[in-house]
Amino acid sequence: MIRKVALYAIFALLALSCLDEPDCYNLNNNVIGIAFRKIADNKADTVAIIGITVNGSDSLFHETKLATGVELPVNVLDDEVEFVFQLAGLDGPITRTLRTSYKSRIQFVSEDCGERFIISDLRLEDHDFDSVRLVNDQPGREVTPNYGIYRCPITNRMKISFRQLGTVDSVGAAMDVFLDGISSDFSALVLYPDDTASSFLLPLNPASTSVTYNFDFKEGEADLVVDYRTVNTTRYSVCGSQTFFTDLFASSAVFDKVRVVRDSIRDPAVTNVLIQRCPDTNFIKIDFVNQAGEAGRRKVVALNGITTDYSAEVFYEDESVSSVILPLNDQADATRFTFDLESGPVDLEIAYTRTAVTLHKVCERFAISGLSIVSSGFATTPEVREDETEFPVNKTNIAIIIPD
Amino acid sequence: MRSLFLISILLFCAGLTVSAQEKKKRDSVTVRDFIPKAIRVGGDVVALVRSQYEDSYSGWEMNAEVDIHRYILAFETGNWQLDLNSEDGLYANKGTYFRIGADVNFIPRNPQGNILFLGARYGRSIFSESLTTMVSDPVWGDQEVQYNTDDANGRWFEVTGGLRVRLWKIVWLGYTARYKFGLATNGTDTMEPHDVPGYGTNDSEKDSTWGFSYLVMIRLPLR
Repeated sequence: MIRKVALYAIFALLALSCLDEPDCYNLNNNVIGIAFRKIADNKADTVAIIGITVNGSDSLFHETKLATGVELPVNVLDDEVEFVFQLAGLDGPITRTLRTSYKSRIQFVSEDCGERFIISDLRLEDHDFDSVRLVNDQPGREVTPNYGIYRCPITNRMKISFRQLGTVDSVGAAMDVFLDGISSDFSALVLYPDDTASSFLLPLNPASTSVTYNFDFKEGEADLVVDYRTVNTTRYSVCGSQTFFTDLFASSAVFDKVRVVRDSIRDPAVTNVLIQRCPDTNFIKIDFVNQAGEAGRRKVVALNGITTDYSAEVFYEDESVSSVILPLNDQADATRFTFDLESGPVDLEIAYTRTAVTLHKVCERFAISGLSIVSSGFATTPEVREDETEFPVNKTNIAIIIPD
Repeated sequence: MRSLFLISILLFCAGLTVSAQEKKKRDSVTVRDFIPKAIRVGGDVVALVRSQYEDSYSGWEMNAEVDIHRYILAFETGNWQLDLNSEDGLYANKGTYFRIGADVNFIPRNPQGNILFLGARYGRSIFSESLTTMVSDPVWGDQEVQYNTDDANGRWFEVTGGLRVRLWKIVWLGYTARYKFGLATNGTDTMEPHDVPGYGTNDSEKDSTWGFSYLVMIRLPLR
């Protein structure tokens, strides 16, 4: 009995003696986790960071990134650190600071690993964010949030989106627009200079009940007027009294169609106003195929260009394509296209029927149907496969047969 | 360390052989007698051997035990110091410690008086530490630093178990295995102790450690 117990004890000690070597990886815990959150719902907030600096160092952390949280080092040989956050705001860069103190203790780990530093007792000393909470005063070796930075709701940021309407699609597809900038009647600031996007965040004026925005597109200008009602109230004590915007109404004399889809401001912003472009109903799709009928396969054709009998514009100049989308003349019942191929120019005249329609209540257009081939210079007469146009153009209207 | 374990196995087996050769007889005493029967005093061989063969270690430990019925009052005191070198640093500590506690003998009727015990200890240590090292930081640069902790103290608890075997006349051998836990230190504001004399390596992620003493003792009867 005694012998067995003794042997078990000795072997257990021998086994345990092998477990004494520490792991030398990632010994320090001198990285603080910071999470960005919204006061309104306590959910993660995505912040546009230009860069974060730490006092005593010229290093720039988290340069130009979107983040819901950051990890920042503290100096193990100091007991206080100030983080300076450069954040991107709608009106330009914003600077915010957070100062925290901590206790730093050194410990010799082993002859192989050397020393490590243990950071503890984090304490919030100062900040100029809306609200900061100390979540955990002990950084871990794996970074977890120690501070939560909370921001008050942004109440004046309206989102507009540009959409291209279809023949039947009343919402439309996101449409990029090319801007020189957007200005408003209450600020000298030009927003989104030389930008291309399909949606934009625009500030409302709390001192008024209406804003006129001027969109300076590459191809011209357009105004958008937004009317609204303001309410001043305190929803979160830390945020104080804030102005909330409701009953948005938008109008424009230039844009095809303007719709308010949400008449109050949300944070994060959701689309409040849709600016929709009417569909073009006069486009047809022409395919180049190697034989007539369903068995014909599309083939690539080298083009010097395609011209029409009603404009000087040249389409598909010096391109090799197997399919083209071309505008019919919606002011006439026939359009003649000239295909400038490598072998020489070839004419194709197409006739159609135009019917005046109003799409989406505001879009005065011609519905085009009854497409037919009036004349053709091609060896084989092109086939009409779909005799009506639609937008966006998905179906092949005409097939030009060019044998292999 | 492993050679010490092997030596302990051999010595223990020798003790068992001696005791096995003696005739078993039952202790006829049934009334508890709480007058101390004997006192054992001795030293830890492990500490002496380490001091001899490890350049970085120097220390000793003395033990005294009093047999009272099936219980053993224990007092242990010692001293050790370490001098360790890492790639960039020099570490040293030095301190004195003591432990007090009691064990329960699970074979009180052993004819030879051998002891198999489990027990507990409360330990205290007064120690100092120093560390000189080069801190390399990619953000704040490199800097040589020196830390000193003087007059620090620590306390801890131990669960102990082991054997005592009479080898020859008044000469006894034995070992004590120790599970040490609950270390708390004072006066260590700038340095987390690496090694607390009497306790051993302080690994804050484990919160416990093991120890082992191999003892050579003299037993002096008190009645």
